[in-house]
Amino acid sequence: MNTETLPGTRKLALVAAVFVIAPIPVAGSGYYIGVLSRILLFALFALALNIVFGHNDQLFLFMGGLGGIGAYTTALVADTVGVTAWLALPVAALLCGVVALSVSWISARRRFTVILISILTLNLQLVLSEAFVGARDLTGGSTGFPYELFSIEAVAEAVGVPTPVVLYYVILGFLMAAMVAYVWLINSKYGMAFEAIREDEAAAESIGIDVVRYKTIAGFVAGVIIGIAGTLLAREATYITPSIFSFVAVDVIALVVLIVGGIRRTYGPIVGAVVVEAIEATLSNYAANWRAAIFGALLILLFLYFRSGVIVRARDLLESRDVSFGGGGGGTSVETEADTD
Amino acid sequence: MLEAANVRKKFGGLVAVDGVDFDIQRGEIVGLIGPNGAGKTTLFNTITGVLDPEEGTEITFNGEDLLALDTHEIARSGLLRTFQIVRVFGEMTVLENAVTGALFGSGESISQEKAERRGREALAFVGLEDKAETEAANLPIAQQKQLELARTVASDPDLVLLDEIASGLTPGEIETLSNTIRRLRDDRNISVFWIEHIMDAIMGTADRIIVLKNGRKIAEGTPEEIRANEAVTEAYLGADES
Repeated sequence: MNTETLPGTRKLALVAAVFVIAPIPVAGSGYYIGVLSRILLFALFALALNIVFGHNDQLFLFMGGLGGIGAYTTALVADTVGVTAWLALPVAALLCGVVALSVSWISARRRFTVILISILTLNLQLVLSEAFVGARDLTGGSTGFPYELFSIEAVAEAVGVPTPVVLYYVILGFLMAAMVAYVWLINSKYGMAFEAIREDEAAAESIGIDVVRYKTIAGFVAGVIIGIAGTLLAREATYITPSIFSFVAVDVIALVVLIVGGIRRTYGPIVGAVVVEAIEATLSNYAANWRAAIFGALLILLFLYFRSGVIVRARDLLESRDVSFGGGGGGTSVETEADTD
Repeated sequence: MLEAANVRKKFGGLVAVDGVDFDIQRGEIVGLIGPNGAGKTTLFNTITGVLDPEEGTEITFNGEDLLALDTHEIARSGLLRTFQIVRVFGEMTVLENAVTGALFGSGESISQEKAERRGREALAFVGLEDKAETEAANLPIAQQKQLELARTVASDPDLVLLDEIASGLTPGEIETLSNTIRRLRDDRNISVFWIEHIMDAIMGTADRIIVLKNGRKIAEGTPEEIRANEAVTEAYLGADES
């Protein structure tokens, strides 16, 4: 269990402050603002995955598809009803929440294992990818359409900063809100139920925990966050096509981010997103064609050797070096933490 | 408080529990014994909703039809259990384990502060109060069993089902455990239905004992009556039983 209390709040404020300042040195470069925004976006996807997979053993592999539902729904509702995207977004997020909730509910009722859920959702991902291409009337097919919602240009003009910078701060706002919600959730009764269910479902049921209910709640919360993240992802691209919501473009990256950062760690998604986007930015210069293959290989490596996250692992290595140099058994307590999977 | 009639459970062609009737009165400690494969744990799993029994089975608890409830609802109605192979939440602390019982098992919505108070109280009841901050997986088995018991006590149940809670314990530990079980009833007004293979523990503690063999009830009575019962002796020592 996490024991984030007041010091946790201070840490979160510090992280927020770093991200508030981060664009200032690079504000002139659209490229770097883009990288920073993608860090936040994938931290958001990974945070959702942390709730539903990390804490709940439901491996959602249709985050791209779910994000796409969010993005297309926001645009379509805003367009057909004629309201601002700010009003359409909650509707879209709610829809994504309900879709995710249904998947979780069915999986929990039928007692699907983590493997079965991942197969089920991967299939949904493939179906949704096809549907986004096929439903040309709604999505514009693979040609897509410009995605410049949320009146961000107007704000940028009024304040006198580039549009991507304003968008960056909007995404940051959503990420920080999600972080606060996450910390609250995990330290509440819900977090305790999640932990009990993850460790031993039968024991959890035997002490009165409604396993189906809590798994469904976790699915809903993750679905809402993924819907918002997907919409912001399209907005960041300024143009929506089905390809930005593919399995490789979203799910693989979010999963790598979560595992790199450390599953069930509060700041895991943020740390992981920084590391992965740094790798991604480097690859895009040298080996763009190999991107998918390299991330696939990375994912395998991570699952084999770094399941507790790069940070914990690195700390372990450092501590074990300390031990070999200076003696003393400091490494053991960290070792047990690192062994959790 | 717990009344069961004609409990039947089949696994394919095997009839694991075959028309068993019993009841548990408030304030009783009832033992459930029988050779391996007699259907004792299957009976527990049927009572707690883990297994669905065959048609014709009737189980009520405080007047409520348990067959209509899910496992977690049965727990919330005041009927909790421990497991044959101990199932504490290993990555949680001892206190957190006890708190889960108070938080989710009591059938009422209580604050986290109140749940923690009840959790500590339950730990003190089984004598684990000084281990509150230990990770549960690091406790020796005997203490994990006490913790499992504390987790049910924290939810303030009416009845607990104990599944071989004394197995693997030393004679000293069994003595302590038997005392704790007596105190469940005497101090906490919790009734006990207890599967056990260790005869000394159960004979010295239970008010009444039910004996199962091949899914059927072959005897029921006070520990003295059961000791003197020929059918029971045969069930345990008979040539065709392993």
